[in-house]
Amino acid sequence: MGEPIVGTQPISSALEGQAAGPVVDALLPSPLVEARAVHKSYWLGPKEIHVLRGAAFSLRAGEMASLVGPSGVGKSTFLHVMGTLDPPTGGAVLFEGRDATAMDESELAQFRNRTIGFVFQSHYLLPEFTALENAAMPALILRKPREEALAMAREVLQLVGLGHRIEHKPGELSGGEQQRVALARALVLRPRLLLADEPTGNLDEETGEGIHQLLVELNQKLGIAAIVVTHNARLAERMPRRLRLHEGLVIDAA
Amino acid sequence: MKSRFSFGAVIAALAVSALSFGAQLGLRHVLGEKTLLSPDAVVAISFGAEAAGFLLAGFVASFFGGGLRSREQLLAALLLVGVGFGLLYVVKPPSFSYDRFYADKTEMILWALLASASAFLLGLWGASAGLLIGAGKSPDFAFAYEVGVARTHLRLNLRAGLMLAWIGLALPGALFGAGILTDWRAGARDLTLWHKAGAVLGIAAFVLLIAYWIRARILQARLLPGQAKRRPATLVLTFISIAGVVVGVWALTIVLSVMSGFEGDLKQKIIGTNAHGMLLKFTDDFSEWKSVLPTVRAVPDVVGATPFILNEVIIANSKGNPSGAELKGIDSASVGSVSDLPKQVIAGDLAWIDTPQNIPVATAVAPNASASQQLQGEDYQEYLDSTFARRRDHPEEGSAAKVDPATLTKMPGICVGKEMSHGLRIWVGDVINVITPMGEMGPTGPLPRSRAFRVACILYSGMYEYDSKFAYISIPEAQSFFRMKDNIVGLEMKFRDVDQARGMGRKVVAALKGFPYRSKDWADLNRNLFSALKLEKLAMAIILTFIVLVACFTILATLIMLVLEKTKEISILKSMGARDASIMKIFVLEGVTIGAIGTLIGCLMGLASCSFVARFGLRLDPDVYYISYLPVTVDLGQFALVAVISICLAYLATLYPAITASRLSPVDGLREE
Repeated sequence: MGEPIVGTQPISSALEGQAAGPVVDALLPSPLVEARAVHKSYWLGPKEIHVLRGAAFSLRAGEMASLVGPSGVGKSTFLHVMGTLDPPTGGAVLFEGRDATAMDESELAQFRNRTIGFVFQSHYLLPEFTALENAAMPALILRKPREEALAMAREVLQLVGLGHRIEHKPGELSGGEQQRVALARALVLRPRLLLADEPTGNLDEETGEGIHQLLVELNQKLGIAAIVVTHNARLAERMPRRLRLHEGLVIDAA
Repeated sequence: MKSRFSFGAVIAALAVSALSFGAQLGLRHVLGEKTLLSPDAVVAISFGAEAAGFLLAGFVASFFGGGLRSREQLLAALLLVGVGFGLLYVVKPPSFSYDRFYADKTEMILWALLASASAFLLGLWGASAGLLIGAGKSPDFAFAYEVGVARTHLRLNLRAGLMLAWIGLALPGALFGAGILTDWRAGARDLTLWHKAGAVLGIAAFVLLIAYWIRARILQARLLPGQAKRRPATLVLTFISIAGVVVGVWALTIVLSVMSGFEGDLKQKIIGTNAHGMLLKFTDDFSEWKSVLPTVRAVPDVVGATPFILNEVIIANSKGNPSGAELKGIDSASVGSVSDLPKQVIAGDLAWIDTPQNIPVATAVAPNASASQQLQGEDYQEYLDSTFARRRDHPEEGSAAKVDPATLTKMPGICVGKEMSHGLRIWVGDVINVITPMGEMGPTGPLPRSRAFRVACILYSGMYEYDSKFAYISIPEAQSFFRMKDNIVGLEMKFRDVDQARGMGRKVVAALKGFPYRSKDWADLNRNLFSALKLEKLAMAIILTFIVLVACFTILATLIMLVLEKTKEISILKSMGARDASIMKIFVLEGVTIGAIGTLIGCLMGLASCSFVARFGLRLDPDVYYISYLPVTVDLGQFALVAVISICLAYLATLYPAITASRLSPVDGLREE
């Protein structure tokens, strides 16, 4: 428990599909996360819906990217697959060269716990716990002692600008505050990658702007790589890297 | 990520379960042949070991197989039929039907099938423990945050906990209090301050609970529409599940306590009349009994010993109505050291069998003052009316009226049971004829011999059989009546501990240098009765366990509802890195908590009800039950067993929902509606 995941496993899985990932130059540091010809399809009754069709993409450590695309194009699905919540139907997702699709249940759980932080459109905070306890949850899942976990949560809540309302339950917080707690929860264990699925989708423009600003600041301050799905073109423009999901493929818009 | 079929798991499960099956057969063989354990104990130990082995087999398969591995366990169980049959073929176990000594092939197949079915079910149970600690490479025994999450699902905060404690104490408290109050009003002296304080507190808690409930209803009625707080359906279901378990556990504990009460009452009555054990001889000649008596009394832990003679006779009243009876010769001075006979006298005096001249001639003897305590109920009045009152008001009807008083005082005395006195319409002072068929030899065989006795006392033991069949006379009288010279049949003995009767009997025989002496204990003499009672109790326990089982189905339903309600939460916890085992732990904890709360309240209700029944006294029809009040015996071991069974069942009920929850994919709850 706790050692960084450093993969050296060679990937022999077929690089099928038309858009193979860029050939990794041995001299460059390997990307933090890499999607190789990822396919994902769902079955709706007898009908197969092919959402991702060989999407290829990679992100370096500390890099921040926005992901845009019309509704229903599969942005959330792409994020879920990148976050190992949903296994791809084809292709591979690699973290520092290690194939996530080959991990078993307990390895995956540990991997999500240590390496990835999620923020969703809804905050999904546990309603019966205080903001502090909610933010401490990943540390508690890691089996940190309660006091230590709460101290970590307090620190990260300070970081997202919520130092004063930590003993309130989610129902007593405003929408922006709730999303800040959710962000604190995602960041409490200092993950390597933050996946945000329309984090400002449920917020008014001003509050959303604040959350966005915070995301960019945290990326610069903590060096956490991030993919932010958004509908807001203006916010997407401000990201150093802009991605678009089109017909099941990820396209660099820059 | 579907796990592949693991033949390793099959082999592991098969190996461990075959070993346990073999261990069961072996243990039963070895313990049955080589030890003095009772057959029940041998069966319990060997099958217990087998069950533990099956649990272990499931655990091993799941732990090293990294999952529930139900397919693998099913295959292992099916293979076990073959292995088990082979084992049985080698061991050749005794048949379970008595007419054949060894089991035949059909029986062996049945045995093997039974073993494999239980191996599969117990294996799955064992496997659930493996899943719970995260079967696989990194076992995880901690469950800190899982407790926190489970607590919020059940809304078990401080307020809810206090409310539950209040309800859980108020209901049994009211029952307990009601029982104490009846005794208090009746002026019972065994009540301590604690009893009284408990009763007052219990009733106060109950009254306050009702008041609180009414207040809550009133407040709710005053609310405007839409103002009322809505409780989630799962919370209501949780309460219903707890109530279900409470009712099941309550019923089970009460019925078992009443059955124990009947058993204890019967045992007490049998021992009260019959002593703990008997010292007999293999020959008819026990004329040296006067020298044996001090030796027997000197054996440590022998509390008393008294001689007795037992023979079957016919007893007839003056009108000639005959009744079969066991005529027992006793020593009225020492019989009290062995049985409760002197305490069973309801009219007359036991000592009058030795001094029959003291039996009053002219007046009808009134019943003893304590008789109304011993003989409770309306039945008592009817009995007195038909015997004592009639004799008092119409002395001329008595059989003694026609006999010359000088002859009367010379007649020997006899004590009879209440039912016999009722049936023959005789009272203290009446004359009855005792007839033994084995009299003098006449030309056509033995001629019956009869002798007139006067009733010296009437006894009430509470056992119909004893009260209708037993009559007591003095030892010298019996010796002369049966022409036994100075012989007796045996000695009755009382020991310090009833349950050691068998061993004590052997000790006494050993003190007399063994043969030709032998001993019998009360359990030997009443084996059929007590084994029937035990079987009845077991059957009742199994039937009533089904109530708890049904209650556990409501736990299952509640948990399924909770899992559906909390799908989002499960997903979010998984996205934060919660393992499948952790999700399973959350729901298992919830179900077991519901079960434990229900069990605790149910046990308290059971205890309070037993106390209420014991103090208030539920009337029974003595003609039917031969017991005037419902007996209860609280056996804490029995309560603990009920609690363990109920919590185990609650655990079983959690497995399906918990495993379903743990297998949910994280994205199931994350799709935006």
